[in-house]
Amino acid sequence: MLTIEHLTAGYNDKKILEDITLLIDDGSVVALIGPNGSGKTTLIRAASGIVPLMSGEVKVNGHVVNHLGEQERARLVSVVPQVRSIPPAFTVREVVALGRTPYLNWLGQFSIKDNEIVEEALQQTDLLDLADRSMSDLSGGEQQRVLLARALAQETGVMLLDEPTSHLDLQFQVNIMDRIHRLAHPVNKENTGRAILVAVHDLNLLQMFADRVILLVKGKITATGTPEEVLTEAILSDAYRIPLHLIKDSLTGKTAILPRN
Amino acid sequence: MKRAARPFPILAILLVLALVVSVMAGSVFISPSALWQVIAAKIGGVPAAIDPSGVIGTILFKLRLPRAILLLLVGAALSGSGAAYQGLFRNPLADPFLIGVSSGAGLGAVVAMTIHWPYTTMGLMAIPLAAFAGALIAVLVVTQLARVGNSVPTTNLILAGVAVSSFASAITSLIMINTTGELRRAMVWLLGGSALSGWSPVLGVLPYVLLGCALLLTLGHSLNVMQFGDEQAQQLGIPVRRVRWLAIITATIATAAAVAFVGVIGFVGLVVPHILRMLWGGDYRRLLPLSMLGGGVLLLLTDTAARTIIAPQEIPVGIITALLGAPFFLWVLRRSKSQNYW
Repeated sequence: MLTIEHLTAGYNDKKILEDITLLIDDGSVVALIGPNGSGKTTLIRAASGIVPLMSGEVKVNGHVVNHLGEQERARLVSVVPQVRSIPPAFTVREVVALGRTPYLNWLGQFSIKDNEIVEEALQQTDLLDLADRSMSDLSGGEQQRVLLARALAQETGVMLLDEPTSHLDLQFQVNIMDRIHRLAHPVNKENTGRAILVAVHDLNLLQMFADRVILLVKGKITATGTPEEVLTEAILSDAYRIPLHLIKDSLTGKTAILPRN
Repeated sequence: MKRAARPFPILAILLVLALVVSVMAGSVFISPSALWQVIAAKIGGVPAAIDPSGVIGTILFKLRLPRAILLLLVGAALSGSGAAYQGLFRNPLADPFLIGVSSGAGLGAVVAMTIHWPYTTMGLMAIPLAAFAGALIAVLVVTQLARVGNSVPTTNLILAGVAVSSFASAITSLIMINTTGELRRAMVWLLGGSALSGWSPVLGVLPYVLLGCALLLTLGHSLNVMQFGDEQAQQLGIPVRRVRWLAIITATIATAAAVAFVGVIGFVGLVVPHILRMLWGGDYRRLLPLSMLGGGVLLLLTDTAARTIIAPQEIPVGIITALLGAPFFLWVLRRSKSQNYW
């Protein structure tokens, strides 16, 4: 469970986020939307405990993340960053194995259990066939899946994803989002679902996986609720500063969001 | 990339071969059979035609073997530190010499020598400490100058390294010009001639190199994670600041000790990790120990060449490593521009 209370944060006195309060329960996916520069990435960084806070608090399962050491924090929260530059000398399996970092001893030795968890993460993300390939041989979508698998190997209750579909074609977008949904809503009801925060740009896509939506504009939360509640013409046109037209599709029951020229 | 098999046995064999060649070669050639007999007589007490306390034995045990061991330790220190600096700065061109650490250490050591620390064991222990102080100041200045935000771009690193290195070398030269007699010795030493002989420099350098290398070996996994940048490393549970300090300090201790005993030897820390990375990949848990072995091999071989090419005269070993290393450096520079493969 991720709880953020009255969080204000930024860099060099400049506030990027102001008075953010939100709660993500175990077993739910929350989509974080907002125009470019609204502070989505900073919110994810702050929630992972690597941004000094000006005020407020970030808690994961009751622990204040900024008071924890890196190792303890990494056992509670994992982050899937945007794919930018990945050191190409690593193989897929080596990268996924880095997810076990917070559980290793000071010599960095992997136990049998660590290796099993790595294999399981590879399997869950359909990467077993690619496991021994070098990262530089992979497509953007495959690299994104590797970073997802690395976060899975961290075995954290809270996962934060920063635009995991930004470079992917439609098939991979749906594929990744589907996996994310299942992580929060496991088929086997005995497993606890994770608490997941995903920053996304695609307003149409998010309706397929998100339980709730948080709209961030200029560092402040301006709307929060179910996708139906937040994705309205008035709220979105105001946030994105362009006139929008929303159509309820009868086949999927989802809302299509189109710019109105 | 397909990787050659079994790195450790290959390097271990190379190391033994380099060691044997290195003690055989020189102004007096020691044949393999003579070598074997002397060693057997010395260690096993096997009676032999050659007396281990005779000329051959003296050359072997008092001159060549300590020198070989010294160079092996120094090579391991320089090359292991090079690999660590490369991982730390995420920069394939970081080498203790190129980033100014060696020259800083040289300056520290020369300053220590001019204030007349006696050439006793205590003195031999104190010079590395002074070298360490100089090296640490150099590396901190270079990183501060070269840093842009959270990264250290190649050009900045090299430029800052050249500037700090030149400055330190200039002061070193000034000090040396103003001294006479005994510090001629320092001059030879600074060119990497390993003017010291016998076992005392080996014993002097040993604790620092062992400590430095042992600590560096614990950092392999952390350096792997840090290749993804500070932010991701933190999110994966690495205390980045602590690891960075530990790596800088240990790599600098090892480099400083090496410089304090054999002088400034460049490019070993660049060439060896680079070749090993191409052959066996960039996993620092493997790269660090392999670099230490490989550094020992390279320095033993270059020193053997330095002693034999124009025998009986000796070429300072730093000249040979520079002759090999500088073109290699340019090649890597071109390569790292066109493809970022590591």
